[in-house]
Formats: sequence, structure tokens, C-alpha cells
Amino acid sequence: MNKRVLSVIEIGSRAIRMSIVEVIDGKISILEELRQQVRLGKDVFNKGKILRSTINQCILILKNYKNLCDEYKAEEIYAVAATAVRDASNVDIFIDNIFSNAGLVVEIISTTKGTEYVYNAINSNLLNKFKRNDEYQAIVEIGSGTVEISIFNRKCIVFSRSLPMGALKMKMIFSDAPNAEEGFFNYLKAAVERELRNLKREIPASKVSAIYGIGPELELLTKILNSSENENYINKKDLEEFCSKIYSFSDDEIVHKMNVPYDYTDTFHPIIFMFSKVIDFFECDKIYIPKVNLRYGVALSVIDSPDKMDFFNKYKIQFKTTAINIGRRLNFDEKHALKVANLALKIFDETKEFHQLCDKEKAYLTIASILHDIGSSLSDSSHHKHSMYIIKSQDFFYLEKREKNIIANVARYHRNSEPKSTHPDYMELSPKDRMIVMKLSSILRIADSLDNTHLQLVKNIRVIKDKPNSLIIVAYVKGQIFTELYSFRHKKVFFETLFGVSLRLKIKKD
Amino acid sequence: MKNADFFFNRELSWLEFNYRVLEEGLDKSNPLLERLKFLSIFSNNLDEFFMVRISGLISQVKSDFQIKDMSGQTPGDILSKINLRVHELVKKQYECFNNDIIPEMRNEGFNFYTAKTIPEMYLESLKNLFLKKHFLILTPMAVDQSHPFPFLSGKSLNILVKIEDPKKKEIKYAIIPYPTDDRFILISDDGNLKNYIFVGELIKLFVSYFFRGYNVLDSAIFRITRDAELSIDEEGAEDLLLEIEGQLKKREKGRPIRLECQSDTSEDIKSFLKENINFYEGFFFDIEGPIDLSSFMQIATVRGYQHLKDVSLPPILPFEFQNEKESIFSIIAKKDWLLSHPYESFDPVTRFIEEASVDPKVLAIKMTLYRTSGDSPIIAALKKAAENKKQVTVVVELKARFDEAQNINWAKQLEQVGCHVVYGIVGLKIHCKIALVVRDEDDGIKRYIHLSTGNYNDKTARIYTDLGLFTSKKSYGRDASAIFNLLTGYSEPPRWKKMVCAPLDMRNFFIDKITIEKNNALSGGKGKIIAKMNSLVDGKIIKELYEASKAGVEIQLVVRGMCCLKPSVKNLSENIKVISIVDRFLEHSRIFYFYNSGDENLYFSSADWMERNFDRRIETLFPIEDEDIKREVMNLMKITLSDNTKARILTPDGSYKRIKPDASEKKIRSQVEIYNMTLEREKAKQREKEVIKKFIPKKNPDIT
Repeated sequence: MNKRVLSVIEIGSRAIRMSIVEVIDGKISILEELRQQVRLGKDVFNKGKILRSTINQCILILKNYKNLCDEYKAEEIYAVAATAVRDASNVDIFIDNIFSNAGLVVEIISTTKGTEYVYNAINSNLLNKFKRNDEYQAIVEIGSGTVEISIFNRKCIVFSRSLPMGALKMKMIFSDAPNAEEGFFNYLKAAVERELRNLKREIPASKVSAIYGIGPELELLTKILNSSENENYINKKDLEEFCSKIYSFSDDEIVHKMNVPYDYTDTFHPIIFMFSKVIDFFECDKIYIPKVNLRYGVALSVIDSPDKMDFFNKYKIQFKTTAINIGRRLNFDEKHALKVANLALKIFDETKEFHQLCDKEKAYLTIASILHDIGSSLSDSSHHKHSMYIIKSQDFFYLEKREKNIIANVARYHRNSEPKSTHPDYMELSPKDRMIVMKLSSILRIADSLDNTHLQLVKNIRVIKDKPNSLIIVAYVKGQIFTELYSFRHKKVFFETLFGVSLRLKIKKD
Repeated sequence: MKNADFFFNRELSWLEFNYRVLEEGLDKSNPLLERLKFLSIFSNNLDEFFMVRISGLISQVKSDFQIKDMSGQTPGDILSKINLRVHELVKKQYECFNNDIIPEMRNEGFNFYTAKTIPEMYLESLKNLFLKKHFLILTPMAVDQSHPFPFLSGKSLNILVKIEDPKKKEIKYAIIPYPTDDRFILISDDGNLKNYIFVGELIKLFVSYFFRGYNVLDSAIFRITRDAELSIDEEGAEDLLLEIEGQLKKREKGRPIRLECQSDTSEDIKSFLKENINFYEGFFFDIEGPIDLSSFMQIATVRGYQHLKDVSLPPILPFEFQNEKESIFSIIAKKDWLLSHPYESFDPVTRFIEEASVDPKVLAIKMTLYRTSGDSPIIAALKKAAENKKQVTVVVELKARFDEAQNINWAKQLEQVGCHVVYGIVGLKIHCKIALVVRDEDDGIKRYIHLSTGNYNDKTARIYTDLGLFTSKKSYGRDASAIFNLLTGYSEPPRWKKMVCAPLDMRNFFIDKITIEKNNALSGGKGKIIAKMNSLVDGKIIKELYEASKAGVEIQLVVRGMCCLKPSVKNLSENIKVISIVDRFLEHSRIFYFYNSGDENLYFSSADWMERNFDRRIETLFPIEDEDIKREVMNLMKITLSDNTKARILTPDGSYKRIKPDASEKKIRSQVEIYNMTLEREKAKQREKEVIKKFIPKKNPDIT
């Protein structure tokens, strides 16, 4: 029997929460769940930083949490922090103080990472199973700092957006507006509707078969509306009625009449209100409340992290979907992008003997090849450099920042200069990662050259080793390929230098 | 109807409870030493009442606070009624003591002498004793113009001596406070005859030795009772431990409330004391006998004399817990277990902690301690656990009344050996009783929980009726951990799986449950509530019960002590019946039953239906889900409700009437009945085991 105890700590805008879980043969069971209020969100959204008193309070809470972890002899403790800490100007001081006083390493996670964890948690036990391939479901999390909306299909997350309009943040934003007290919900309504209008343009589908609502406020509302904690959904009609019922209630009345705990007063009403608007937008009658959280998702990702050999297969659809979505937003040449990706992966697979890279790097190559030309949407001149920083500005599920930088560099070196020690973005990488960039970009260059016309004339390729240091790429083509041939001659050089092989192109009619 | 028609006053109701205690002393059908014990308990209870309950009322009267309580009476009204009633009760107590108990004790060979009655033959040896011991340790304090009336501790016994300087013909007074811990001096004991003299009387006999050169004109014993409520400034207290230690010192110095003198004290001495002690007017007591009968507990519990005591009912160790080779955790893992104390032994609970302290699989032990005995095996086990590197968390309630000093003492000891000791929560008393053991077992982390209605005190567990539950159910485990996270300040309250907690939502929980019964009755169904507790005082709950009664819900309440609800009042509480049982064991369990349209709910709790429990204490309530245990508890309740020997029924005028069996009815004394039932059950299990043990050899099948 394989068992371990691990602990996940989530430093949120309003509370620090911890789940201690036990994993037995891959199955997670929760041992303890703790929650302590903190005013991180209030500090950061009002003052831009975390106040000393709050830091001290966090240290105390985390020390206590750590004691409890020791009780269970929890071998692994994962502490993650999201919006509030991420946005604080003194984030580094905060993290350092926590480390030196409570002995915990806090990882600041991006909104994408947060979505990834929550998606994993929901997907591990879907309350509403998919029936069709073209069906979409949505996850909506309205927090204190942000609103996270993501849409997924049977296979992966197809869209995700983080809107900087969490409940506490909105209160802060409108605090000095005229009539802020009475008119708050009018302001909020206008702001939500504006964001949703923007969203409409990008979203792949506003018709979804299920919405999952995440957050303690919704769990509380489920209890209020269903008079049972066991229910896992809220009806749209009930939500609307509830909203109109409490519309004129003061915070005090909400606490007393609705049995809402005091510490929810700041956020309960705005979050429920915003939720009702989002539900309208998605044209859905029912909201599932899966009662899972980011911490559960983190635990899942820890126990379920695929080994290096399986990484690509597990996430390839997600990587491809994310890259294509970025491309589509910037109007890229999708056919060219996918052709280059296809050729690159083929070369990658058939030249393993030389590059010795594994599954993870194959995933990097997939994204880099789909997005190698994305910089052209800004300008053709130096478009490879634009590609680099566009990729750097994006978030990718299941990838770390370091990996994103590798991908950006691979895309950047698909043409022109090879990596040099005078290139700062390249030199930021570790020597090992630089080697990965060189190897992958040398492959990408060849793949790109084989679709130089962007007409997908090369249908397929095979790589054949004819002598120990000589490779032949057999290209099955349709029509004549003059520019591809020309380009190949230039672009293969990097690969040849890197691996010490000679490379020839043999054309065969398809 | 006015408020006054709805509720009884809580203090007056409490006095009626203490009267029921006294009644057991008056009851000639009880064995002699048991009667004496009840008289002693009556005194002890009354002392606490003066120390704690009265001071608040006096403050209100002194500040001219005129607001009426829920029974519609002003503090002044209540105080005068209390005064009247206490005088009546004390009179009854001493009549019984002097006319019944003492003569009967004399018949049994117990003589209690005073300075006036002591036979001459003992004087010489007593004088020697006095000079060797008492004379050396006691210090008279003069009271004159240069020596103001000294400070005398609450509840201490003192002798006032009136002396005269023969030369100056000057009258002076002196006071000799003397220790109360050993009040009886055994002069002689030949097995059949025990002769005692009270310490105070001995001092009176030889008091002249303290005042050589003076004439002793008069001497008298007296006692002051002081306000002993601690005023702890928790909000401002940086360290609750230090604050309580400080307040304990102040307790002895609370203002005087009551003054007691013996009735044969001269008027002269009485007026001197009345002038000098600023007690609350009216609370002067002329005692017809020895002051403070609580000290007679020492005599009532004297070794031997079984014929003067109740038949012994030693706690029974359930069969399943008898095999010491089987780990207690494996016993609990099999199923939930109910322990009904004091009928059943407290040993499994002690064993639970003791085994945990040495079990290599145990990661952590957590428990709440409210009142526990000083030499408690549980404390010893916790210390051992900490020494064995277990994580031990002990939540100590320092504010457990009159046990504060003791609690501070062992809490410090636990801290020294490395336990994580939490000294309560600011503003709330931790009253819940819960113990949790976390084990790292082969198939994962497992939690074992003990939940109880009574304290972790092996001594009181022999006298108090309480129910305890052992379980290893996951949902209870999650809640138990969450309670400790709450108590240690690690976490805010979670969403409970099974438990309900005060001061969070327990009152509302009960109100909801009562409302469900009410609605079921209103819609033509059956509504039924059975609840057993120590006190019923909470106005909101009482009002809900009235509403339920009006709707036709059948409500049976077993309330041992205070009860502010008026039962059997037309158009208000016709369907409510309140009984109180006062017997050899102190009724202490809190059990709540709701019919719930046939899907019956049963709960145990640490809480009474009192405001302080709902609002100012941390309490737990937990459901009993195991069907066997449910049946067992309902059976206990059935027996309790059918008591016709020690049960009294509360009448609408606030008095209690003993329930007596009809000629045709079987006499039921519930406590004895429950004990016998438990004994029979265990005997049956034993017999069953013996049958299994018989070795019956199999016959050879070929031989016919």
C-alpha cells in the first residue's frame, strides 16, 4: 500500500486555508481543513502592499498550520498564494518573511495556474458528464480580487480569462464614486456587463451545458437555498429570487436574516450579484457547486504529475488548443502553423538519437512551432522577436514560467541569427535550457523551411539515416517546391552544426 | 399573560433544587450516613450559592437596579424571597440534624462533643493535644482602637473571644481564625464507640491559654461567606494564566455576604460582629448547632458502617473491555461504544489515553480538560505521551469555578513536559468534553474519538451520571479535529459534519428541532421531545417549548436543577411534564430526543439549555447514529422517566411533588434499576462467553 500525507496551504485574499490530505494508492481523502481570516486583500487592494501587522498575522497562522502538519508527519507541504499576494508591491518581503519565520516556501501562482488546479479538481469528478464532443462547460470563480472564467470541453480547457474585478476590488474601486453606498450595485452591474460584452467577442461558446461555481459564498448560498448542505447545485430561478430579495438588505440584515457569517459581509452580496449576471450571460438554468477547491487541485497535481515520458501525451491536446487559441486571437496563419508543428514533431521523433530530448521538450516544440510566426501579427520585420515576447506574455496550462521562456526562445530562433551570448533573453536561461532551445529551434528551422510558401506543399516527411553522420529527409510533395528547397538549404545549417551531421532533402511526389 | 406568568425565577428555582437535596437528608427511608451526606451536600451547595449567585443580585440592589427578570421580579424582591426561603430550609436542615441525625448517630456509637458537653475524663488529654498543636499554630488577633477588625477569609471558621483586663476593668475582643480542613478530633475509638470533639469547641475549651492575665468572659464560633465570583478581565488580559492566578488571590477578599453564628452566642457578641462585618443585611443566620455541616462529609464517608450506607454499586467494566490484551483501538474500530457512568466503569476512558501514550502508532492526543482530579491517571498518561514524543494538545479551562487553582497547577506540569497547553479562549468557557487520538495505521490515518457529557475526572465519574461515546467514524473524526483547531486558535469554525457547537449555532439548532416537532404536530402528525439536562433557563428555548406544547407536542423533560419553565399551565404548557431526580448519583447527562416524524433523532451534549451554555461557552452536541446505542439510551431514558421513588414532578406553582407509586405499581428507583439492568446485561454476556468456552469434543462420525 502506497500512502503519504501531504498538506496544501492556500494564501488567499481573505483567508489562509489549509487542507491536510492523505493519499492512499492514489486516492485522496481529506484529513483536516482549516481556515483563518486575514486582510491581505483589503491591504493590497487599498494600499498596494501587505501591511506589517498582516504579515505578522500570516506568520503566526502559518506557524500554527505547520505545527499541525508536523503532527501528521506530513512529508510535503505546498503553500501557494494567488491574487492579493501576487499584486502586492512587497511580495518578495512577504515571501521571505514567511520563509524565515514559519519555514515555508510560498509559491506565487498565476491565474492560469489557479484555473488549471481548479479545472483538475472539477474534472476529476465531473458532476455533469459530457455527452457530446462539441459540448462546452464553464467554470466561474468570483473571488475577492479577480473573476476567473474558463470554458472546457471533453478534452481540455479551451478558453480562460481572468477579469480584474473581484468583489473586494470592485468595492475599493467604487469607494470614492458619488453615491458609492447606495449606488454600488448600479456601478457593479455596469462594470460586469461591460466585461461580459468584451468576453462575448472572444468566447468560443456562450451556450454551455453546465456551469460550475467555485467559492465559499456559493457553497453558503447552496445551503441557504436548499436548506441542506448535501445539494450540489443552485437553480437560476432561485438565485434570481434570492438576489431580488436581498437587493435592499443592509449587510447587517444579510447576516441576521440569511444567517450569513460576519466575515462574509464584505463579499457575499456582491459575489452573489455578480454571479447572477454571469449565469444570465451563459444561458444556463443550473449552477453546479462542486465543493472542490484549488487546494484539492494542487493535491491532485502533486499525486498525478505525469513522469517525463508521459507528459506530452497527457497534455498535448491542451497545449495545442491553448496555442491555437492565442494564434486565432491574433489572426495567425493557422494552416502554416499546424503544418510546421506537424513537420517539426515528425523530425523530433525521428532524430531522437541525435537530440536525446524527451517528452516535455516535445511539448515545448509543439507550442513554439504553432506560435513561431505569431509576431507577424504585429509586424513582419523582426517578427521572430515579436513572437518571443508575445509568447512570454501568455500563460500556458501545465507549464512553468521557465518552460514558457524556453518556448519563447525556440520561436524566436526559428529564423535569422542563431542564439548568441549577447542575446539577453537567451542568456537568462540556464545552460541546460539554452541547449534545449538550440536543439528545438534547429528542428523548427527545418520544419519552417519546408513550408516556406505557406501553401503546405510538403504533405509528409520521413527522416532516413543513410550513413552514421548523414540524414536524408524524404519530403512527399504536391507540385513544385522551389522556395522550400532554397530555404531548407539555409536553415538546415544550424541543425548540421549542432549535431555534426549532414542533412539532405529528397523530394518525392505525393 | 405577563412575563411573570411564563417563567420561574432561576435563583428561587435553584433553591428548590437544593431543597430536594435536603429532602433526601430528611427522608427517613434513606440510610443514616446517606442522610448525613445529603445534609452536608445541601450546605456545600448553599455556600456556593451565596458565593456566586447572590453577589450579582446584591450589586443590582445596591445600585438601585430595578429592572425585572424574566419572572417579572426585581432584584430586591428576589433577594427577600431567597432570604426567607434559605432561612426556612436551614431551619429544617438543623431540625433534622439535631433531632434525627445526631440522636441516631449516638445510637450507632458516634458522639460529637462541644466545650459544654465534653466529659471531664477527656479534659487532660485534650489539653495536652491543644498545647502541643493548636496553641502553637493559632494566632489571636486583637480588635481594639489601634487594631481594626481583621480581614477574615471567606468560609473560614473563627472564634471571637471577649476578654477583660482585670486591672483596668477594660473589655477587649480578639479573633482566632482556625483551619477548617480537619474539623473533627477523634478522642477515642474502641470500635463501637467513636467520640469526637469539634476543633472549634476544643479551642473554646482552652482559649484562656492565649490570654494569660486576662479573664475570658465569652467566646463564640462564627463564619463569614464572601463573594467569590472572579472578575476576570479577559479582553485586557495578555496572559489568561497570570490573570486568573491574580484573581484567585483576590477571591478570598470578596465582600462579605453572609454571617453565621451559633444560636447560643450571646447578644453582645452578635452585635459586635454585626457592627464590624459589613455583610448583606438579612443574611444573618443563627445556627442551631455546628456551623458548616458540609464538613460532615468526612463522617458520612467514614470507613465501614455499611449498614448505615446505601448498598454499594461498584462500576461495571463492560465485557468487551475486559480483555486487556486487545488494544482499545481495535475494540473501538469494530463499532461505536456507549459508556454509561457511573453504572459502567470509567476505566476504558483512562485506558484510552494511557494506551495512546505508549502506542507507537499514535501521532497525536488531544483533549479538553475542565475539571479533573489532582492525581488523575489521565494527566499522568498525557505527561507520559509527551515524553514519548507524541503531539499532545490539552485544552484546559482555567475558569472552571472553584477548580481554578488546581487546574493551573497541573496545566503548568503538562506544559513543562512539552504538551501544547491551551489556556482557554478569551471570553468563552470551554465546556465541551472531547478526546481525540490520531493513529497512523497500516491502511492510513485513523482517528479515535471519545465524546462525553461529563468531565474527564475519574473521581466524579463514580458519582455523576454521564454518557460517553467512543467512535472511530470519519465524520466525527473530522469534526473532532476541527474543534481542536478552533480551540487552539488554528482555525475558524468549519462546516461541521456531525456536531453542533455553541456559541455558534446550538440554540438555533435546538429551536429548529423544536419547530419541526411543532410543525409536525400542527399538521396533524405526532410531535415528541424528550430532553434531560441539569438546568433549563434559556428564555428563548422555553418560549419555543411553550409554542410546541400549544401545538400539541408531547414534551417530557428531566431537569435535575434549575428550571424556569412552568409546566402544565393551561393554554401554555399543558403538554409539558418536568421531573427532577435527586438520588445517590448526581444526574449529569444531557440527552435530547426528537421524534422527527418517526425518523428519531438522538443527541448527547455538554450543554444545558441555559444562556451561558449557548452564548458564553464552547459546547458540543453530537448525534447518536448507531441503532443499538440509540435503543440503549432510549431504554435508559424510559427507566428514568418511569422513576417513582426519587423523581419529583414540577408543579405550576414552582414546588416539586414526589412521585409515588400506586399500590398496584412497581416501585422504580431509576438509578438502581439502571445499575441492575447493566449488571444483568454484563452477566448475560459473561454466561454466553462461558458457554463458548466449554470444550465439547466432536464424536467420531463413523461410530453411531
